Amino acid sequence: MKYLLFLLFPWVLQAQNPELTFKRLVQKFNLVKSYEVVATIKPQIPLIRILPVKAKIHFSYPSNFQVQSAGISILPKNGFSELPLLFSKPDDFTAIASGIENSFEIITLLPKQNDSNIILAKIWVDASALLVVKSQITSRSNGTIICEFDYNQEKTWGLPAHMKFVMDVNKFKIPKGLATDINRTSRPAETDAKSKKGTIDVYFNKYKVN
Amino acid sequence: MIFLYSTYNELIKIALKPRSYLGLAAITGLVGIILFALKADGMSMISFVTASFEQTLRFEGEVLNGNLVAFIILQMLIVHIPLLVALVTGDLISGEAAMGTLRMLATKPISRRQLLGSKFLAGGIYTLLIVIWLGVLAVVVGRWLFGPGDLMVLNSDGLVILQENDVLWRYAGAFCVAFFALLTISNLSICLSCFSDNSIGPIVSTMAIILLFTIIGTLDVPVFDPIRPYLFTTHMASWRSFFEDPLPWESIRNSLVVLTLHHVLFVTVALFAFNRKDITV
Amino acid sequence: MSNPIVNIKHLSKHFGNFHAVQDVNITVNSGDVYGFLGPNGAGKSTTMRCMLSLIQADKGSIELFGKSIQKHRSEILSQVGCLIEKPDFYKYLSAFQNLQIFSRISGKPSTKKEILDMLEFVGLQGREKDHVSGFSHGMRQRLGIAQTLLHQPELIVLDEPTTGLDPQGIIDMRNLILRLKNEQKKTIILSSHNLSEVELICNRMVIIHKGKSIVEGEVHALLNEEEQIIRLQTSSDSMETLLAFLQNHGTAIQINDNSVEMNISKEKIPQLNAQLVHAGIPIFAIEAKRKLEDYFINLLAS
Repeated sequence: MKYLLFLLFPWVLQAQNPELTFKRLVQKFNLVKSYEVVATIKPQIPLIRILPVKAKIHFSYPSNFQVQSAGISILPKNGFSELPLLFSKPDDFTAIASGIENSFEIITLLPKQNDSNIILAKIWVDASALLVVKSQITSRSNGTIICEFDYNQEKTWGLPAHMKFVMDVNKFKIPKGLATDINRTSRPAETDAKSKKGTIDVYFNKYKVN
Repeated sequence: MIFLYSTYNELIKIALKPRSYLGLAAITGLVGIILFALKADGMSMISFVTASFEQTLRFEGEVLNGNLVAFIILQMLIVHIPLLVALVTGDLISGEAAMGTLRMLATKPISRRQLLGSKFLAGGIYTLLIVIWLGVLAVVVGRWLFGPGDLMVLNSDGLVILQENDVLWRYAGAFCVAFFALLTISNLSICLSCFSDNSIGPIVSTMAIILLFTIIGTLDVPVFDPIRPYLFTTHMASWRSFFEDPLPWESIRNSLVVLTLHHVLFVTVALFAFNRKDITV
Repeated sequence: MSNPIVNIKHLSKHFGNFHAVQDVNITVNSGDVYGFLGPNGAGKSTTMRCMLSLIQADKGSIELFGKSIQKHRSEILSQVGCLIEKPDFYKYLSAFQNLQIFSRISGKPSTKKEILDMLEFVGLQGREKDHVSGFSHGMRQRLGIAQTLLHQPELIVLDEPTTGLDPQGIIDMRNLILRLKNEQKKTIILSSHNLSEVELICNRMVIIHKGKSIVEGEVHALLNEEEQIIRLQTSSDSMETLLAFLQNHGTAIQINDNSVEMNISKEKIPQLNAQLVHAGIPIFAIEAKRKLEDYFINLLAS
């Protein structure tokens, strides 16, 4: 019966095994010891205006990222390392199934230790391809950052072609006194409440893996 | 031809007067101090600016670079440069009256209009020299010490990050506009100089006017709103507009128009006063 | 009668309620050395400044070289060299640089050689590179004359040129003016307090008092130089004898125990001298008294 159910509803067995899915993701992650990739970083954040920036990203196992850009680029505070941090310390987390959304398995990862920086992590997993398509990580230092992943040629390695970070920007403020507009000729119009979310799109190209 | 000769005379007098080098030396000293301070601890200043952003974001790349240093220098010296300009240009008529040489000049065939015009021109050239020197120190020396890089500018409506290949032409534009703004100071001080027979009066008066108008411009009081757009001090910092994205061309054009009107006003008043001035000293 | 170089008619200028110059008329002919006399505050400098367009006149016409100063200012001033009050220069520049500055805007820039020659002419050779800040008053006065003459003007206006000079300087200045008049045929307007100087070198003059011209004309005609006042010095013992002797020769006035003054025509002085010697009256000196001084004082008093 169990096998019949598995044939008819293959995700049923997987959804019932978040630990297994997580373990398999970790195994896939461990295959990549290092890589180098050309990235285009495109932030769209309220109060910040910046053009897309090209950068070179070097990764070395387990969660070391080095970003080399000719100019200034803006990334989430912990950059790309939050998910790799999770995968590099799988024993620190308990995986719990949290349902299915758009045929993607949702796994909630709870830290086993109370003093962990990561308070809560949720990943949306394409179980058949063993790819993380979305993550939502809440940490003490960064708040909640949502990241969406798109894959292309490098999906066998689990390396995305596009990442989209979505973050809270409520706390962003312009320090007064440093940016006085002494050439202001009129009162600034009262603006509508601006979007309190910011996004950073990173497009990856030309991976050199291991 | 006599006008050109007179302008040449004025430039020689400015070049050989010790006071002329006070401004250049002051700029050199001030910029040197700022460069030293930024080299020693510039990152903490930047952290203060980006503190609220750094809770969620990380800035990769050389944030503290020559372009940012040049911008900081310009920002800091915006109050001081007008004084250094007025120190020389405010003396061009009144200083000669105090010395008695105005009497000697006014009995020569050169017309008063040509004489005054040559002083305006020489004052403008001196102002240009000050701006060029500031540019060399800020941009050239700054980039030499700190290297090139993207420019991060904090405006009242947010942070703008301009790419390195997009910065130099902006500096060129900014310095042109800054020169035009400082020329207003030069012309104002020469105009005031026509009404005085002592050296210090026009210089102090110029600074007093700048101070008064700056205070009116920055006081957040609605009663001053109608006049604020027409004060020349409101447009003194219009060079900053070159570091916004997108470039507010209309705002820059408006500033240039207002400053031009002030130039015309100061020159006209000066010509009228100087032509009718009884030289009794 | 030569054409007037300077023709000022009904010139008036006031400063507030103070009338500095009232209805002054002046005519200076070509070749004149024209004296400008008057006490302090009479309006001499104001008149000169109006003439040179330093001050705008309230009323009147000012013509130099037959042209209005208001309409032909540049053309006129290119032919005028002037030194009004004390000569002021750029103290931080050298003598040479100062002259260069002024010559460039005088209508005819001078060459380096011309400037050096002029410095030598006024007695400042070797000082061309020295800063004016180190010059004495006399040296500045000389430099002032140099900048006045550098562009070869036809009309020279000098406002009290001997003020502050030592006796040798005064003599040098007087000789210079005479050279300019006699050798170079310049027209010179000279304002001075030194009456003997004006009497010696000027052929025409005007006396101004309280902003008004009191008298203008030829010096010798005004002073009636046919007659002179002479002062004779003798011993106190011989005073009575001398006074008695002079009764026959005109009115003599005893000035003090030793001196007597009298009017006499110039031609009769040698004869008087011979007669005094023949009469055995000891005369230690016969001096011609400055007539202009008397004339000036009497005129102002009246």
